[in-house]
Amino acid sequence: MKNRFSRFGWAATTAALLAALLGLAAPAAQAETTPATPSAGKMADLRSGKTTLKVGTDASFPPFEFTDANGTKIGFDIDVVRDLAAKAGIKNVEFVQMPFGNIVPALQANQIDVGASAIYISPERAKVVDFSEIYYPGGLGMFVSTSNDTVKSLADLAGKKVAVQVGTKSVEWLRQNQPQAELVQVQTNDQMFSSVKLGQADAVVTGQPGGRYFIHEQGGLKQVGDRLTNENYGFAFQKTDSDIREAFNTALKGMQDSGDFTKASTKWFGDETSTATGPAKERSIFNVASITNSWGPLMQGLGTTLQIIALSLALSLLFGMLGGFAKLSHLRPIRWIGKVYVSVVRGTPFIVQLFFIYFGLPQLGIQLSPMVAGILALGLYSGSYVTEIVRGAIQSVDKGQMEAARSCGMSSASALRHVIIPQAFLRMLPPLGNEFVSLTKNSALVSFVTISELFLVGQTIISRTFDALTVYVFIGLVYYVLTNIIGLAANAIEKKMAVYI
Amino acid sequence: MALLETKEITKSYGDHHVLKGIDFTIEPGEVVAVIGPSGGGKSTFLRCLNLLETPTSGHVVFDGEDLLAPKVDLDRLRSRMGMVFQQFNLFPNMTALKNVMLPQMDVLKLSKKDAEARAMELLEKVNMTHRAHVYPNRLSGGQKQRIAIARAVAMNPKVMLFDEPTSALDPEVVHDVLDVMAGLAADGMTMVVVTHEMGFARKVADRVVFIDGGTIAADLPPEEFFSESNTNPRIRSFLEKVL
Repeated sequence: MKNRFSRFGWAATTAALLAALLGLAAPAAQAETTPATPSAGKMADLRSGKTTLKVGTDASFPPFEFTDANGTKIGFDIDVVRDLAAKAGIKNVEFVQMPFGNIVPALQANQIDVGASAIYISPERAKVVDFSEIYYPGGLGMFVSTSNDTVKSLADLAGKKVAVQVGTKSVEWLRQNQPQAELVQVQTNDQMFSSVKLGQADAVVTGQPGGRYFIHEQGGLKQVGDRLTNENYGFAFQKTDSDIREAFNTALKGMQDSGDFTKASTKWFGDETSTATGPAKERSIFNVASITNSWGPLMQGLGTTLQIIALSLALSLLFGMLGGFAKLSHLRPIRWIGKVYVSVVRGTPFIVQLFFIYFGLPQLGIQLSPMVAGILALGLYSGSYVTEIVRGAIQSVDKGQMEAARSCGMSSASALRHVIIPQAFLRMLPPLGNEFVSLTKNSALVSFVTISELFLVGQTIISRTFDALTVYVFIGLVYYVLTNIIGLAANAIEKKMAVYI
Repeated sequence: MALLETKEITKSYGDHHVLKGIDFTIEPGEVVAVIGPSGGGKSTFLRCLNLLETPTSGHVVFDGEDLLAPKVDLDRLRSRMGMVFQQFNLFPNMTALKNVMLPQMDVLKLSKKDAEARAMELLEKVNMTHRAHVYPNRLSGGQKQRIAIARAVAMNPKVMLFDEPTSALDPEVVHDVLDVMAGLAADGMTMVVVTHEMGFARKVADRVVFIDGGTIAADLPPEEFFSESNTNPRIRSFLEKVL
């Protein structure tokens, strides 16, 4: 890692410069641009409060980890990790939201220190991360609609649609043990249960505690058959962080001996032996309460979304201007850079670029905070389109304009600034408006790198309320208003500038 | 010493040889009309004089400096050569007044106040003060061209180059522009005018240069050029078509 890092030092420097440019120098500095430092120093920093223990979790898995109406992360794992960290002498703990499938990669990429998200200890995972002692004996259970009398055992799943969460143990287990089941892979925990309730799948195979919690909260489903597996949850750590792991193990033992662990368990799971079944709860189609109860987090998410849009928009304009002028350069190598930029960035999916920047670059020693990675990816992607807009607009200005300016003795820089760019800018406005509407909508995708913007806040609300309809309608409306404001602003500026047309 | 001089300039686009070696000089205060058939190289020749086109070979010497020398400050030299285009090329994003002010402020570094005073003075000279605060899109062709002339004159050029300045105008306004040009000539401005206006060439020019097939076929005072005794068959055939 070390020697690799020095080789790619220039790239890290560029990234740091960009971060400074974004006015995010502080978080970027925290997001360590160096690879994993020796663990001993890390533990001392955690204990002194100099650094914060970053715990990756997918807070869409009640009762292990989810969020309350204020957006605060709560649940069994949250309580236990807080208690264990305190017992280990670690001062500051921060829970970082991320999709479950990203937790292990995030540990490998040194984005987080601990994974605490009801993670099964599997040999595959143990190859790339280390696990604590078992803290919760879990296992897979099978759940179907209360009205379903045909699925009673694993064998009955043959030819049936079975909902599973992407990246979870259920996927591989079903492939091995019931290959005739048709897997419906969904992104979040609540989508699994919803797909059965909505008839999109016949059954859910997931961790038994989560299934029981859903039935307890929402009803409409029942558990069938025996527990499918006997598997165990552990907290995941980076391979290099053996002393953090040891400290957690010691603290866990202490918690179990003192009875604190049983208390936490009872608080979240209640009586484990109660029968898990119940009728679907009645509720109206739209629940304004789903929105109003979570108004604070939603507005916070909106604030983050606006910040992301504003900064990536500025970056997009910058990249677009640089790219556009590069493509118009008289120098072949510079033109070539512009061409490659547009062809590569426009020719690959945004989500691939985002994941490359956030999960791929750390392998080269370039570690970016989620915000920097998200804004950089959005700016870079949108900038490739703006490049073509800038190039096209400048080329569309009559050649005589440049000749008139030059023949008065104006330098080409002056001519560009006073004559060409003002005219080109007016022509850019309509396509720029379109592009920034696209950018606004694409900003929802940065939720994938754990940024709690509007869309991710919505998803976490759904994981608690199971009210996808109301929440998605509301969030859709917010984006609709945002994109229309951008459209209207572009029109207004164009109208104001177009006095000479 | 000649103010502006070309030595053996040629211009080729691939196999297409537009200029085939042109020697030309103009003294301070002279007005030269450049005429000839379309496609003969008149405009290309004029555009070579301030290097809007770079000659393939030869030299252009202005005010004692070789424009094609390696480290020449072309912007500084161009600021002393005014150019007026067939399509006016006013800057559409600024008013008539600002069009005349911009080069003064940007190149001559005049203050806004001084540039505006001088611009208004010149707009008065071309009878355009009443349209000073109007954008070019609301001006007629003749008005645009008079403002373009004011913009060029504002730079205090030593020579002015006109590239078919009246060819894009409605016939009834051609005279407004020609009158302004005649006024400039009377004030002693050195001018090279590519034109199809034979009346202007005859009355205002000191010399008529006839360019055909990429070479100067004649360089004569107008009275000789237009006289019946000029028996050059190419000139006779051209004049028969345009007169």
